[in-house]
Amino acid sequence: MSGVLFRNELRRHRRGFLIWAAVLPLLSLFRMAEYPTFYRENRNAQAALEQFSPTEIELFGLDSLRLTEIVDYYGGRIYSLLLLLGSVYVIMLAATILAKEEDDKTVEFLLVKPVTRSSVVTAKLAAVVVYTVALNLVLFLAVWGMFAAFEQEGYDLGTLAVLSVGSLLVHLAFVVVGFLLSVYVVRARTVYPISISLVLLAYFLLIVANSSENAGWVRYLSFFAYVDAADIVRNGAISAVYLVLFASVITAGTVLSYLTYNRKDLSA
Amino acid sequence: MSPVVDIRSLTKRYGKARGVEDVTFQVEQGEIFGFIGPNGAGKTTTIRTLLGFLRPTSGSARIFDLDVVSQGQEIKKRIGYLPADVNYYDDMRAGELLDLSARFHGVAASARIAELSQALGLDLGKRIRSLSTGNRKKVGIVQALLHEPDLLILDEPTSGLDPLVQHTFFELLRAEKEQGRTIFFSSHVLSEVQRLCDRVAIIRDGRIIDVERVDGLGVGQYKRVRVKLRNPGATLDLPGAHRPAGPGADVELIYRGGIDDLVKQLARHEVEDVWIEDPPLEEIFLHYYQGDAERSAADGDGVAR
Repeated sequence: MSGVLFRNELRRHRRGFLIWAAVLPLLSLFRMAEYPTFYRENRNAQAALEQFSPTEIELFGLDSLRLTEIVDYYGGRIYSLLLLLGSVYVIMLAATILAKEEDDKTVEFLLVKPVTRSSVVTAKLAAVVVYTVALNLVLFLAVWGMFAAFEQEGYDLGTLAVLSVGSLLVHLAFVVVGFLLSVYVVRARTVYPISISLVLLAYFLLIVANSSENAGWVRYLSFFAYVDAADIVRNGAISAVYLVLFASVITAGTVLSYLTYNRKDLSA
Repeated sequence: MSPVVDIRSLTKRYGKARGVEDVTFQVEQGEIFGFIGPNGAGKTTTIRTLLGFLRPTSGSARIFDLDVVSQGQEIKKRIGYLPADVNYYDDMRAGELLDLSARFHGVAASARIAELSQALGLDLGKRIRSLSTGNRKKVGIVQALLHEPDLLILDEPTSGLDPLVQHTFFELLRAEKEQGRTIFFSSHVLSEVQRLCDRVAIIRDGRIIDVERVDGLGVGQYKRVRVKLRNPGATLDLPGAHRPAGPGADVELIYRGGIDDLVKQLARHEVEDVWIEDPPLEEIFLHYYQGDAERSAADGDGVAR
C-alpha cells in the first residue's frame, strides 16, 4: 500500500466523514430522547405496539420486539434507519473514491508515480474501510451513551454490540459492492445513481421479505435482512448463514476488484 | 547499452478509438526524440501504453530495459510525464499538489519546485481549479521535472503555453538534455520538433511511417507561402511549387526549395503582402509521401483542400 496515497485519501474524505459522523448520531438522539416518555406512556409492550399502524408493524417487524425495552426500541425505531443512511454514505464513498480519479483523469497523475495499481486499490479501499469502521464505532459509542442516559429498566450491552457488528458488516458489504461497481462503471454521473439505487433496492427487498409470507428467499438478496433487529434481539447473535454470506460477498468482491483493476485499460 | 525506450511491434486495438499497429522504434540515451503525427494518429495511445495505462494487444515496450506492463513501478521512479491535458485535483493548491508528487517519489524537492515555478512564472498558492489551461500546464511541467527523472515523456507539451513560456520551457528541456537525460515528446507542430529534437518518429493512422534524424527530414523544408501580388495577371515560376493557385492576385502554394530562390523569385514582382509559415502536418504528409501511390490514395480523404 502507498502510505502517501492512503494519508492523502483520508485527508480528502475527512470532511464528508465528519458530517455523516455528526448527523447520524444526532438523528438517533432525536428518537432516543423520546424513549423515556414512550416508556412511561406505554406500560407494556402490547400497549406500545398500538402506537404504530399495522403496516408499520409488519414492515419493520415490530411485533416481535418488546418496544418498551430500550434495545428493542432502538432496534425497531432507529437501527434500520442508521443502516440505510450509513449504507448510502459508504457506498457513495466506495463507488467514487477510485472511479472519480478515472472520470476526472487525475488517475494519470497517480499512476505515473512509483505505485502499482494494486497498491492504489489497497490505499483507497483501506481509506474507505477506516471511515466505515470509524462511523460504526462513533454510532456504537453514541448509542451506548444514549442507552446509559435514557434507560429505564437497564439494557443489554451485548445485544447492542451484536447489532453494531451487524451494521458494520452491512456497511462493509456495500463498500465492496460499490468499489467493485466503480471498477466497471467509471462515470460519476452513472455510478452515483446506480450505487444509491442498489442500497434502496436492498431496503425495498427487506420490506418485501418482511411483508410477505411466501417471500422468505428474498431475505438472501438484501444485506439489510441479514441483520434483522428482531432476530438479533431474540437470539443475541447474527445467524451463521448470514455471516458466511457476508464473508463470501466481501472476499469475492475484494478479490474481483483487484483482479479487474489490475488488468483494465484506463479510459481516456 | 540498451535504448532508453524500446518499442517492438507494439499493437493496441481497442473499442471505437483507433489504436496503433506494429509500432517499432527506439529512443537512445541522452537524445531528444520527437514523436510527430496529426491529431488522432496514435501518439497518445502509444504514450499511454508506455505508461501502463493501456495494456498492449501484442508486441512489447520496454523502458530502461524494464517491461512496461510488469515492471511499471520501477520504471516510474525514473520517469516524468506531462500529459496533453493536465487534470489534477481541482481543490488542491498548486504547491500542495507538487508536494504530494514529491512525497510519492520520496524526494525533498521544495527548492526545485520553487526554482522551476519561478522560472515558469507559476503561483504556487493558487488552487488548481482557478488556474488557466496554460498555468495548469506549468503545474504539469514542474510535476514532471521535480524528481529529476532520467526520462521525460511529454505529450503535446507546448499546447496551451504562450510563446514566452514555451521559450523558457524549451530552455529547461535543453538543460535537462545537457544533464544527460532523455526526452521523448509528441507533437503535431513540426516547427517545435525541428527546434528541439535530434530524431523523430512519424506516425500516421496508427503506423510508424518514418524514423530519422531531424536534419535529414525532408518535411522540414516545406513552407506554406501566400503572396498577394499587385499585378493580377502575374504568375510565379517557382521550382518545387506543388500547388500554384494559377494566375491571380492571391497565390497560395506549398513550397519546397531554397528560401533564397523564393525571395528572389518574389522580388521580380510587385508584392503587396506575403505570408510564409509552417504548413499543417496533414498537408505536409500529402506532399511528402505523394510518391507512395498506396498512401496517396489514403491521403485524399484526410485533406480538406
